[in-house]
Amino acid sequence: MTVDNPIILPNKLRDPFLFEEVIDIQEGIYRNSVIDLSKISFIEPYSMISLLLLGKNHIRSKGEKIKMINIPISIHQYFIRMDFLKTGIFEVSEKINKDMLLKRSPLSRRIIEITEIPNKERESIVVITDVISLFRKRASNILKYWISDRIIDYFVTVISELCQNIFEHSLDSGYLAMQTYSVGKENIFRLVISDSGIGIRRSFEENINVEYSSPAGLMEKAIFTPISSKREFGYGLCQVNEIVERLRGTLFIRSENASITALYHRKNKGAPFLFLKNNLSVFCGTQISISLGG
Amino acid sequence: MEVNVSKIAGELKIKTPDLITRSIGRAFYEKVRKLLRLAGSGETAIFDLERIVVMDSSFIDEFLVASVADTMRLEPDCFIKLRNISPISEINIDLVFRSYSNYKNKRIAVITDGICQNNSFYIGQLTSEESDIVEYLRINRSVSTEEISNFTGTGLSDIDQIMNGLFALRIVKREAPGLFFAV
Repeated sequence: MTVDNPIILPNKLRDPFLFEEVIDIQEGIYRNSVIDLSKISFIEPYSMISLLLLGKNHIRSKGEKIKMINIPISIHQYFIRMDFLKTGIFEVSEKINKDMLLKRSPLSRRIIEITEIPNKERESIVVITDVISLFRKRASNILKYWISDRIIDYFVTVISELCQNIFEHSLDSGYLAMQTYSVGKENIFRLVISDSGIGIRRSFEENINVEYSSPAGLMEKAIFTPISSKREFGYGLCQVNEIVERLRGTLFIRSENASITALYHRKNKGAPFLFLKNNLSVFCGTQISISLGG
Repeated sequence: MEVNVSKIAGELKIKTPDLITRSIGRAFYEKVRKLLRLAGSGETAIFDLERIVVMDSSFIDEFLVASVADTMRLEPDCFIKLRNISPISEINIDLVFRSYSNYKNKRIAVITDGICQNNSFYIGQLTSEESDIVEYLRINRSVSTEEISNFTGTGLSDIDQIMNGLFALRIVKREAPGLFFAV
C-alpha cells in the first residue's frame, strides 16, 4: 500500500457523465489503494454508488480495502447519512464528531439510504418489498417537486423491475440509493440501481437470437424491445424506459465499456435525445441512473 | 367465479398494495389455476384487483399472461374479466400485452369491468372493427353474426371469422355457432 502517494480524486462526482473521469483513473486507484478526497466538493447518488462498486471490485481482485483520506466534512457527513460507510467497503480512519452528524429527522427524508440488493431471489424479494414500502412512506417528500398522480406508482414499478434484473441477470448483488437534491435553482431527483456483475452484453452471450451491432446498440435494443437473456421476453427495461419517457426524465445506463443516455425532456423539442457510447473504459457490471429535473 | 386478488395475497402472506416480481406472480398463478379448474364451461372468472396499486410487468407476465393464455387453450372454455384495475397496473398490463402481441405474433387481450384509458372495456390490441364489435356486444349483451354484419357492413363470412377470432381470444362468449354473448 503506497500511503505516501495517494490518488487525488478529481472533483467529478457531480453527475454520471463526469464520473467517467474517475473510471478512467481506476487502474491507478487499484494500484495505490489510497484515495484522497480533499478536492471533492459535492457527491450525488450515482457517483457515490459507483465509488462503492469501485471499492468492491478492488476487494474482489486484491482482497484489500481502498483507504479514503482527507474526506471533507460535508462529504463525510453525507457518507454517514447515506450509510455509505456502513457497507464496510472502504477503510476510513478519520472520525467525525457526533454533534456534526446530519440528523435523520422526517424533514430530511428526501433520500433512500444505500440498500444492498442481494443476488439470491428470495432474499432479494424481501429487500425489494422493504425498499418499496420505505419509498412509499417517504415519496411525498422525495418527489414533492414533481406533481403527478401516478409518479409514486411509476417509481414502484421502476424500482421493482431494475432490482429484479440484479438477481436475475447480473450474477452479483447490487445497490440502490435515491435522493432529491438541489443544484442552484434546479431540483434533481435521482434513483440509482447498480451492480458490478457480468454486465448486459455478457448476460446475452448465450442468446444467439439477439443480434446487435455494438454493446451500446444492445442496450438500445433492450430499452425499446422486450428482449431477455433468460426467457422469451423481458419487459423490465422497456417498461422502465417507457415510464422515464412519460415523466420526461433522463435514463442513463452504463454497462462494461458502453453507455446509453435517453434525455426525454429534449425529445418533444425535436432535439437529439438518444446518445450511445462505445469504447469507454471498462467498469464491471451495469449502472443505471434515472433522473428528473425541475 | 370471483377471484379476490387481495385475499389471495393475504393467503400467500404477501404484503399489498403492490404485487411485484416473477416469483410472486408464479405463486399467484398456481393458486388461481387451481380455482380456474373448478370453473364451468362458459363461466367468467372476475379477477377483482381492489386495493392492488402496482402490478409490475414481471408479475403480470407470470400471473395474468399465463392465466389468460390458459383460458385460450384449455377446455372447458372459461373467461377472465378484470375489475378495479389501478391506472398504473392498467398501463403495465397494456405494455406487456402489446409486447407479447408484437413479438410473439400471437394476440392477447382481456375484458375489463370499468372503462380503460383506451376508452374501451378491454386491454390489448384489437382492430378498430373488433373494438366496435366488443363495444356493441357489451351494450347489447348478445348478438348473432347477421346482426354484427348489419351493424358493421362487413360480409357474413368475414364477420364469422372475426367473431371466432374474438372467441379464441376469450373476449366474447360463443353460445352456439353464429351466436355470441358478452363476457
